Amino acid sequence: MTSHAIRIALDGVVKLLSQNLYGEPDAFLREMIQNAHDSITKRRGIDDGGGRIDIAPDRARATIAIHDDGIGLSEEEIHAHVSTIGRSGTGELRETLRAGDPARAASLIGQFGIGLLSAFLVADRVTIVTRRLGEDAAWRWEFDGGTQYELAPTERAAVGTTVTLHLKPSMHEFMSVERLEGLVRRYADFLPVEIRVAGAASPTNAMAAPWDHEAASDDTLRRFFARRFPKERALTHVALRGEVLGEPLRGVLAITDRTIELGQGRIDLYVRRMFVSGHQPGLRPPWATFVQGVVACDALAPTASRDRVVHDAALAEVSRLIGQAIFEHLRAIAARDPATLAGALRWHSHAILALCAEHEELFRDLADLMPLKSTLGARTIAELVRENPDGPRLAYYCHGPSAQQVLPLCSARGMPVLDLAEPYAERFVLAYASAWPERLQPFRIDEAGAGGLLARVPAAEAMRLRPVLRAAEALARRERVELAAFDPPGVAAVRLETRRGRGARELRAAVEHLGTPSFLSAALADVGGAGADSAILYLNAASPLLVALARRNRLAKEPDRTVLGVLLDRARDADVDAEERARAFEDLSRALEWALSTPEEEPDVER
Amino acid sequence: MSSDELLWRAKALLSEGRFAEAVAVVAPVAARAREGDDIVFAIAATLTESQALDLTGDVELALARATWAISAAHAPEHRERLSAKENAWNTTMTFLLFANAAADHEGMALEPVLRVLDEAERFLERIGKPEWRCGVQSERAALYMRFHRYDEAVLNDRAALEGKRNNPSAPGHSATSIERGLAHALTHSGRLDEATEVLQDMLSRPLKPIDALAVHTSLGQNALKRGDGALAARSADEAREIARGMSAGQRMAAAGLAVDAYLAVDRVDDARAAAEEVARCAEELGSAHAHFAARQDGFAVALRLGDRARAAELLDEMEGWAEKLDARSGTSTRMDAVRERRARLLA
Repeated sequence: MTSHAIRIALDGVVKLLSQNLYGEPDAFLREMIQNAHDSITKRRGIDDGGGRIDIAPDRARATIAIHDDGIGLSEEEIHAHVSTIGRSGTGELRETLRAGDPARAASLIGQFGIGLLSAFLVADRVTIVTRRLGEDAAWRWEFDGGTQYELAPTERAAVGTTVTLHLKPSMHEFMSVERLEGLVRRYADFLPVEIRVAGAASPTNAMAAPWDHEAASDDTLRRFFARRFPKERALTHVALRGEVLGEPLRGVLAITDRTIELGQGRIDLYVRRMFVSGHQPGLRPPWATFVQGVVACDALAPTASRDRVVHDAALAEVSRLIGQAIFEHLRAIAARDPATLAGALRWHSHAILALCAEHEELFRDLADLMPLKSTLGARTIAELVRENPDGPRLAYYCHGPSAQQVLPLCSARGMPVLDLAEPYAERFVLAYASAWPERLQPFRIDEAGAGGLLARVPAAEAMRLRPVLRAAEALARRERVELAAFDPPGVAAVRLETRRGRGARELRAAVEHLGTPSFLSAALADVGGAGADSAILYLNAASPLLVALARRNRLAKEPDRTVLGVLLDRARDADVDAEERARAFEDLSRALEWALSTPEEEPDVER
Repeated sequence: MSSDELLWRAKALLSEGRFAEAVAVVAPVAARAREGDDIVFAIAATLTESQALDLTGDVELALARATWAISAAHAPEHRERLSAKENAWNTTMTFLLFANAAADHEGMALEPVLRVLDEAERFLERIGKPEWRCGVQSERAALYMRFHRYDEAVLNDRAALEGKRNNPSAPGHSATSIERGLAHALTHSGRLDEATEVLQDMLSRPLKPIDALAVHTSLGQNALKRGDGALAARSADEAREIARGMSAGQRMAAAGLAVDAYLAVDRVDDARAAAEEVARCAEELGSAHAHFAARQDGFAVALRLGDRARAAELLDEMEGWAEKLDARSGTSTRMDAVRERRARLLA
């Protein structure tokens, strides 16, 4: 066996790498600022100079120049680091400093020696003019992303470096001062060097995080969040203070006054004071979707593109600590500020119900404060029980696919009912009843045979409706048909799932679950089907339409048969598969065709 | 109450026969546990829930819970922990409860459930607990009973009983419960003397009400087969008294015996009352087996009372249930019973 060196066709590879490494063109400014910052940090270890970055867009030349008064580069460093992809001068320096000056090592950001590639996200040519501290000679380096770069002596009065990006025509938008200021605040707000854009009198970045001061008050955090998330209104703030692998974990999270859609809530993550991502996967527990804010922790390891951090034990620990901080904060405000908590619960009930399902202590703290959806509006369990005229402990609730069927019936009777369609809501109510049976007796009202809503039909009336009952039985699909009387009369039929039907539904879900071993799936292959007793279709004896159909007694013929079919389809609407839905449309279409085919009456003609 | 306390409360309710209350207490605890990190507690709570659901007649839901528990025990991330000595008892129970609930499900075929029990035996071999197979054997016996394979049921029950006596702490049915099953299987396989011997031996010891009910019911059926109507009626009286206040399934077993026993000694009014009790229980249970049995008992009473029209009506309904049950089990035993009664009705 012989070994050989891998060869790389360099022509075009720089541009290719830059396009594929970074998720968005904005990243160029982060990388340029980061290089400038590291250069300044290196100089601070030698003399007292350095500490400013200037970003200068030039519309006439279509360039952006990034000046720093850092240590600059020697000719040798230009060849060794700037012109060698994957070799990081900063990374090497960090290793050197790690033992002797760990604080300065930690403050360096660069890692992989590929940051300059990002320039080609927006530019087709890059020029660097630099003068190393302690040297008189200055150098001009120029590169267009090909296989050759040019280096020549030049003049430069001050120590430092200027990187000039010659923008591609499609990237001229980056010359906007407002855009550049926004990017500086986003990526480098906490960086302890002044960054000015277009010669501004004061720095664009804050240069410090609020938690840099030990005594950062709640008010400071509140102001910081408001500045950072100007469109949001925070109800309460969670201050993060912890430690991960010996590094501090800091930040501020807020619970805001609006529902946050899944994946929309932003937590800006900072590592070594540089922004990494607003949507870092795994940064928070899956239930903590309702908080937004800023988190900083140097124990996290950015990937090469620096727009994510690596999934490792440190990230898992940060996520755990964030979850714990939210959990403890909710418990604390439950005790000292119930009004604020009520606001938070109102906007984020889904996520907090999930949290209660996992944490019994929190569930107990929030049990009487959690508003749930009901026919009276949002109500806590205690409020709803108080308002139920039928009993001091009684709370009606509905949960399953039949819920939408019974809610109009409950409203018609003025019954207060909890609508527990939201995930975890039923579990919350049942857990409440388990924990405090003396306070709550939940009564599920959307299950067949549950009683309360449906009245028995007197025998004589039942006799009159017998033709409709028989015709409905002939049209029944996986359901039993019964007569009942209920309000409002406009609802001709409701279909309620039975306990058996619910069991069969859950069993089917268990069988279809990917984690179910094959020997179990095989055993259950023929069970769990929806049998005839999976639901009951109740015909409303109070419905004028059904009474009229019974009186006509022509249900074996059209159009009466189809009219009855359409009414039954409406009752099944919440609980049908695609095939049945298609059939329901066919029924409805036939009924409408029949209605349209009825001869029009002659209009009255005035004589 | 904490989750642990609630689980204990549910177990206590279960042992008191208050099955629906046990479900109400344990269901939210188990649901919460299934979302949490403590898989051992989640399995324990789900097992109790599955058991309580099965006893309230929610067989599908009981199977769904048992399926979750076995699947969780098989998941690579839990497998090692749940096979550990201190957790293996519960893990074994997940298989047994599945088979137990499956035996109550009318749509279940025999062979696939036997394969689940084979899997349970492999699990016991793997964790070095082959002596716990008595639990598997007794569940296998119950399955064979359900499919009328009585000799195989007797063999498995005998083996299970011996194993249980040597390992009283093994997961699964108690020795008394296995004895009950053995007597039942012996009776059905026609070995009446052996069955009577087992039952009399049980009655000589103090028994829990639920066991006493089963023993008296079996003794009564045994006596009927031997033509001893007086003993059958006495056993039925005892069984009905014990079953008062118990679940529909238990009341139905006692009342079902009573119908035949009272007819055998001409207590026709008592037989009619017992048949009405069977019908009420069948409505409550809602299973095809229960409906079939209720029509069967109602037919016997109606025929004795000379109400042939009612008898014919009940026989038609019985035929409907018989067709469904035979189609599911692939047998003709129920339809044979219908045909035999129709011949009697026409005679």
